[in-house]
Amino acid sequence: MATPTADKLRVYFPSKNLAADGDALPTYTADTGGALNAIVDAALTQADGYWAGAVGWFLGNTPTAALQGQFFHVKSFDAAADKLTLSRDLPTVPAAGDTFRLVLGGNWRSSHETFGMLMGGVLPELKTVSGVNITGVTIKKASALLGEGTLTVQYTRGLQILRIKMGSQALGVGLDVSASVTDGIVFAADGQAFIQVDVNAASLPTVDRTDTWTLAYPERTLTPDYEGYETKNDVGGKTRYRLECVRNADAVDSMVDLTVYAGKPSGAATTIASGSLGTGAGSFDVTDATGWPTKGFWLKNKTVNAGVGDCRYVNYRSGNTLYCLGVDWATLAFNTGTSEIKQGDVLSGATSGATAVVDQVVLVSGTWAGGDAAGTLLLRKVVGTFQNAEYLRVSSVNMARAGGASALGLRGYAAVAWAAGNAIELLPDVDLGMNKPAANQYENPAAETVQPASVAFRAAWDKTTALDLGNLASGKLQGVWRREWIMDGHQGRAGIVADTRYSWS
Amino acid sequence: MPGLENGSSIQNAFSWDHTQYPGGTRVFGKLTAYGGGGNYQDYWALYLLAGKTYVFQTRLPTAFDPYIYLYDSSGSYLLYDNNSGDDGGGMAKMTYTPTKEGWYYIVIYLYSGSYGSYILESVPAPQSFRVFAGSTARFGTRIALDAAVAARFEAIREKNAAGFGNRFSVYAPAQTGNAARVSARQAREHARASRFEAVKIATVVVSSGRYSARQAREGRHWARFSARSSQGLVLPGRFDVRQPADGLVPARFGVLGRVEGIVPTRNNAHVPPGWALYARNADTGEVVRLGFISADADPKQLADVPLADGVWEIEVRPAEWYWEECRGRNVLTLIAGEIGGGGEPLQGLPAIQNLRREIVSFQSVIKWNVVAEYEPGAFQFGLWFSPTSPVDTSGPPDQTVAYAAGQGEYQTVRAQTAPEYVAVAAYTPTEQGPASELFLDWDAVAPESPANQHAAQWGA
Repeated sequence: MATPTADKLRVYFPSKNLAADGDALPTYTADTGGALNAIVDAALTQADGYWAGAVGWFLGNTPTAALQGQFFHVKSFDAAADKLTLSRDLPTVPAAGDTFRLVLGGNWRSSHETFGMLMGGVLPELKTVSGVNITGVTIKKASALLGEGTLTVQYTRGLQILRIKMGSQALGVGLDVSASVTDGIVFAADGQAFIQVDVNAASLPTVDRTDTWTLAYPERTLTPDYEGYETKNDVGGKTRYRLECVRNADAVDSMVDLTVYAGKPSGAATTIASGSLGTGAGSFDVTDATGWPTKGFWLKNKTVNAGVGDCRYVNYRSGNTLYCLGVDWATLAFNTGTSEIKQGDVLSGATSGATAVVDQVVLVSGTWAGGDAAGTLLLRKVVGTFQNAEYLRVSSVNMARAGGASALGLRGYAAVAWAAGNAIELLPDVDLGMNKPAANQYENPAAETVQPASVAFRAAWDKTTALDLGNLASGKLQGVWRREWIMDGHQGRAGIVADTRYSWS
Repeated sequence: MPGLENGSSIQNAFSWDHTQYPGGTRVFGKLTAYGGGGNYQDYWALYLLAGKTYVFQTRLPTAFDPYIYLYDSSGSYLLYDNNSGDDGGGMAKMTYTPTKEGWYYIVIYLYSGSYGSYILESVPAPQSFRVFAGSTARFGTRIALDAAVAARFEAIREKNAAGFGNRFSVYAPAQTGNAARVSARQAREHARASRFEAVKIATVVVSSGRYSARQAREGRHWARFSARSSQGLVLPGRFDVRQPADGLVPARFGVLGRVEGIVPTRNNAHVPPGWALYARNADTGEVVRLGFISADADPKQLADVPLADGVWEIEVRPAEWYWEECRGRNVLTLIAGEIGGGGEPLQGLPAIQNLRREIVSFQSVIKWNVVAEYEPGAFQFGLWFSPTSPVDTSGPPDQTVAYAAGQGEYQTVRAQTAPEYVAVAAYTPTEQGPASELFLDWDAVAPESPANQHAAQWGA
């Protein structure tokens, strides 16, 4: 019952257009008619808007050199024109014959792993990475545990081993390359960070050799940028959902107590020094915000709600003064639903006069057709408070009745007042939710803005708050959804770090 | 090295005890009899490295005239000697350079009728798989005491000794009547590639399945050994031990915590390119967001924007600005409602910002800023002084400063003799912009200049 080594955790892209677990992502081929911000392919036969929000990339060997390995974010899809409109311009216009792939949603795990580190500006999963000096070695993946810096790969002829190190660290355990190796794993000194290589033993040098690469984190390979057009649209922000498909690739052993949490901005926890904050927009001073982001980040108050906490979106920071946006999101239980409430509907309370825009509809029981639909609504741009049992209307039509009063809150926390002395800390930019696939099939929400059914989200930012995924047996799958919660009027911010960090024994 | 270790045969050869002599180069033994079933020869097992030249010899005061023989791992004879030793006196000596790494065996043999103690030397010392106090901990794992749970796991490597088979043991100290939870030990097996095996011989009585240890045997598999504690609420300590050993790899043992993997997920958040338009009420200071004009809008305009009656300064802020205190250029001033004739734009007089005073050579230097550079007409800055607040600005100013196109900062000197208030405003003969007021204290001691003084403002 050995512990599966770090290379045994493999994370894959899902996609809603696949038909079974492990299917390859289709390779699409561009037709003529593309533009700097558009790709046309008649093979894209899906419905209008199907690919909106998708992440895509051109293959490493696509004919147009400037597009090789280029990632893009799909803004919209026109079924009639078979055209993907992109969020921003490509380096050059895609030519007929250029090949690309698309990823969106959940449903099925693909055979394509998520990407590791950039090596010298190149993703080895997309383009061949080989050293200048160590002939016969092809690097196929560099794990993100290596981090940024200089990677040294060393071949020792006398021992016929390949070893690696980062920066000035010690060399790790060697990989025996006395014979050719496919998908060999070379660990760094920590025994966890690794590179994956193919080795042709006959082509290895006859003397000791070393090669180095500069490693960097890739951006926009799993979660696309949050584009400007997605916010400040006066509909109260939005939520986006992405899935990581996790598989234990160990042939024998289970991953015991697999956990996951997300990265968050750097900055130490502190306390509110002075001032207070209600549920509206406001500001307060903290004791020490040194090193915190200057704008557009999330904050958790660890003191309130009996220690459960509360959170706010910090619009911007000036020294130790934090300016927060108001809480205009709420949850609202409903029942006796007779007409379907949909995302984007403008909801109003027949008695209270409260209004809101519907972000999510979570149906817990009953049906709309049966007139007994019940569940929970996630509302944004909330004005007023919906009352218990009042009719909930859309365009003056009664749709359902409130199952309680609406409760203001962001990211699952109940919004309450904050006061001096409260302990606060930075919160990750994403929430995580577990989705154990049923018969290897994941939840399949209709769009990137629709919450996957039966997935409970919460913030997880360190080992103590990590999401517990249980034990993962050999060859088994698990799923982790990421939720981005975007406030209307949110700020631009570069270099958002929301890495997912898994650990197990 | 498995076996009984009584020196009677290759299978039961003594292990080279590196602790007996500095550098681990000598071991000591004793032959007790010649013939009659006595101990007339000893086998010693040595792990030698390929390409390294070893000199083996007996050293005085060995009590008899020894022969020494060398065998390889399969027991095949390699060489022998009787009288070539450096110490003379019948001591034996062999020099050998292995072509293959592995176990070799030296037999020390009693030829004559005498017997007794002997000294056998190997220079350099054969390889050791043991841990020494001064070495850099090749092996040793412990879990620290936990407040709630006493040490659940401790691993100790026992000394190699003849007659003591265990080369490796894992003990859990008895706690509160619970006997040893687990033990791992090396099996005695000859000619096995693997030199280590851990066997669980006890079942945890109180806490099932907290610990298991066993060796995975796979030809090219990294993990040769693993021991771990599964996660539990009561026992948060996570423990993992594994040996990523390979035949060619020096590192024979490693200790790791939880295994980790990272999925790099990084992106950026953007705001839409364009401009937000704000209206600032010159009388009340109220700021109203009029709307947003996208960079790709054509025409770039906001239409049908409701605005209450009053004098409004219209300001444009690029989308990437985020400080509310940021001020853009006052592109125009308009009067909405009856007082201005229905929203006709005026030429635009700037608001006075960052009004402040500095003491230079015992004189008050009054400074302020403006940001209005949008085709301003001819105007001046007026300064009104008064011992009380608010300062009356209805009359002609006490001092004037000329506006210069493109210049954002202005100053003037005030010969002051007592505390007073100053009001500053842009003005023309027909219009006056919003005024800012500042109290000018006066003392023989110059005040400290704070980083930011805030100027009160009111409408014209």
